[in-house]
Amino acid sequence: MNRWTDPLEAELESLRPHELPPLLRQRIISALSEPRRRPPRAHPSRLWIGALAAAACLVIAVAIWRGREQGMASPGRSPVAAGSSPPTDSVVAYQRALAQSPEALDALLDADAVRPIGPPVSGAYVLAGMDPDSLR
Amino acid sequence: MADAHEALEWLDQHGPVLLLLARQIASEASAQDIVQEAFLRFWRSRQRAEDPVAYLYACTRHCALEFRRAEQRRLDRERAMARDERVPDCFVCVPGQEERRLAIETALRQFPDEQRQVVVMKIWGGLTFEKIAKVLGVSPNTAASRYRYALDKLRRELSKEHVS
Repeated sequence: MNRWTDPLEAELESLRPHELPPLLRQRIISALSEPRRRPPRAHPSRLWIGALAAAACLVIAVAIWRGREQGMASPGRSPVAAGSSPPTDSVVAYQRALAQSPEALDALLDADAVRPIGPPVSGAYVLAGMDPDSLR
Repeated sequence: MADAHEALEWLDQHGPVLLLLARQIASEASAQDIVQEAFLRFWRSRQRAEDPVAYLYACTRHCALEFRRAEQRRLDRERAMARDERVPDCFVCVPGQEERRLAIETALRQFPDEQRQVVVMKIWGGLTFEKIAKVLGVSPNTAASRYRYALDKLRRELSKEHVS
């Protein structure tokens, strides 16, 4: 069975597109034979160097930060009043007194109540790195 | 070497129609670069293609659309106008048919892109509607109706030309 062909289709088919220009053909073939360029990738050793550098920066930053913190918490600059026991020691003392008897706790509270208060030191200034004495 | 020989075969078989297709989408000046770029892309990834011929045409179309977008950003209005006014010359000249060829090319140039692409792939590429549909990402029915619509319009345009 013959397929009916549209005369316009047949006419269009009779038109032939231009051949590829020889120069273009040559260009494509030579491009195909060239080794394929890959996008540059970071070399593994470079990645290691980068990671080590980042780690070193982090260590230095932490060391500086801790050094500053220690400098701020120098003797006489602590927001905790001079002469007073560290807070943890006080809590432990209260706990022990409470475990002994209510009287022992009362005695300890009384003893703390009469203890003289140390010189006023502002924790805010200390934390801000300022010497409160310089303001006087 | 066998690879290069095979590439040449593909190029000689499909190259002229790919160039024609590229000309339908982007400027004449870019058509050769489009075919080169598209063919290289196709050749390096053809193993992954389910239908290599449809994939080759899809690569060319995709590349041409990329070039056209770049051109549209770059070119000014006057150059775009100049492109449309240029005398088309996509087909081999056959003595005695020059006027008719020019009429067909001029008429085709007035059609929307998607219709021209279907006509090129069907008539000169010999692709089935199924393959064309794959290239364009539409249904085969849509591809077929675009083709029929374009042919009807071309028929009308050419008859007007004939009368005048």
